[in-house]
Amino acid sequence: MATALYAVRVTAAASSDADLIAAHAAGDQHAFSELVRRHRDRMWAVALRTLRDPEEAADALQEAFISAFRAAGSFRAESQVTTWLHRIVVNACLDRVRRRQARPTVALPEAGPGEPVTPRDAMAERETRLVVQTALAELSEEQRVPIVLVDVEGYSVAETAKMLGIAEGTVKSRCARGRAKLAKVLGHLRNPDADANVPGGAVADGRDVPHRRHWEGR
Amino acid sequence: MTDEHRGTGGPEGPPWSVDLLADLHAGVLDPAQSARLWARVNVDPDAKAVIDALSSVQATLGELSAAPAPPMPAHFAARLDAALAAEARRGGLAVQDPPRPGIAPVVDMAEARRKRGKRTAWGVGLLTAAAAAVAVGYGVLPKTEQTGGVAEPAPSATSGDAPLAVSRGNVGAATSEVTNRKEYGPLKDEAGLKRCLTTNGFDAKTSPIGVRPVTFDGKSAVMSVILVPGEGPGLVQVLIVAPDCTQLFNEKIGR
Repeated sequence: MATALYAVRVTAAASSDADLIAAHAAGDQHAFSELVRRHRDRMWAVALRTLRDPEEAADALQEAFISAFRAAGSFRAESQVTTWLHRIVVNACLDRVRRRQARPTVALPEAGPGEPVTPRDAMAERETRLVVQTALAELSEEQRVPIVLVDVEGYSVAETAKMLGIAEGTVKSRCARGRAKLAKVLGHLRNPDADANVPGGAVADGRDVPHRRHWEGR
Repeated sequence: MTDEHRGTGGPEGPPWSVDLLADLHAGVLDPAQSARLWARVNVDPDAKAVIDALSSVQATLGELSAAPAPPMPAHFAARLDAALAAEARRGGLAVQDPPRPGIAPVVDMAEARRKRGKRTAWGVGLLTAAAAAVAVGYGVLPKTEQTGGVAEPAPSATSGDAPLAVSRGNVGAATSEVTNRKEYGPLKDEAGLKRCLTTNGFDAKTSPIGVRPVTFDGKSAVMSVILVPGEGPGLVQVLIVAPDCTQLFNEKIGR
């Protein structure tokens, strides 16, 4: 009975995320659902930015939430639930990126992540953000993933390098190349002149060549 | 400012290479080169404009994470809810295999399915050594786009699992052991499954959330679990067919 009362209390809307994790670990049948309800859309955005393909992002998110469901007992209260969850989602996405790299002949569709789920006229209304998302999706995976982790999700270069299993200098270099392309695509440069072909063009990135074949998925 | 001037191979001055400045901005260059270039960039309006543009890109990207997130599409959300409901029924909270501190290990779904299969028998009943049957679960909502075969985990085939024993009395309980499986058994593959679903009156766009060989009342069969449009994951359509696709069971089941 005490458990039932506790469950009723902690699944209320005012409960903190940490309360929900604790309640889930204690056997509350509804606590984790509430946690998912709170964070699903934001984590969906993270997965979609990282993987670009909605179907694959949905699978990664499912894997991540099931991992979190099972591992909730190991959650430490000193951490932020969102930080913990975010890292699980990112790891699930990166696992998929690695698996994709192991299948180099498979091409991804060229559409950006917003296009399958967001009508074109809605894109116009939410202008800048969606334009940026679309531009981001047009980057090659080897540039998009580090940029998403560093510039969007806020991981340090060192953390990103560790997560991707590449050197910190490579992370910086790929971010630099990606930002340069985005600056042109987004019109931030006053005089992009000869670089107008950047979105689809190859980049003279000699420093990256030794790593590139590990990322060739598209 | 052309592509051939990019990176460290380009000239260190006007016309500036965007990539060289991007490297400078990102901290890629060695300290001596970086110090030399910053001194020049800071007094060159054109170079400063490029650096400002790169900073602006970074700021714009940083705002994405705080922006309102678009909702997860309903059919994906329903699939997620169904998977978590199935996990809850299995009592999936880990008490063994402690993960790295603070970080949950990511579950490989195919591997999880294999492990899960090994502890399945107690939950659903005795296994018969007789023929295999197949249980299949499907989300009836149409997929909105092709995956190009990238996202799908490899079908776990039979993974060495014995067929699940299902009877009319435990169909509801068995659904959790079928959800997320893609073991086609006698239906062979996704195409065979689609044909069988169509034969049994389902829309051609019906998309499985799981399929698995089972025994149904002791006979070989294939069981399908299908999300019902407009309902939550608590109500599913279950289709069980013989290996030749003859319908044995087709009802909505509460879970």
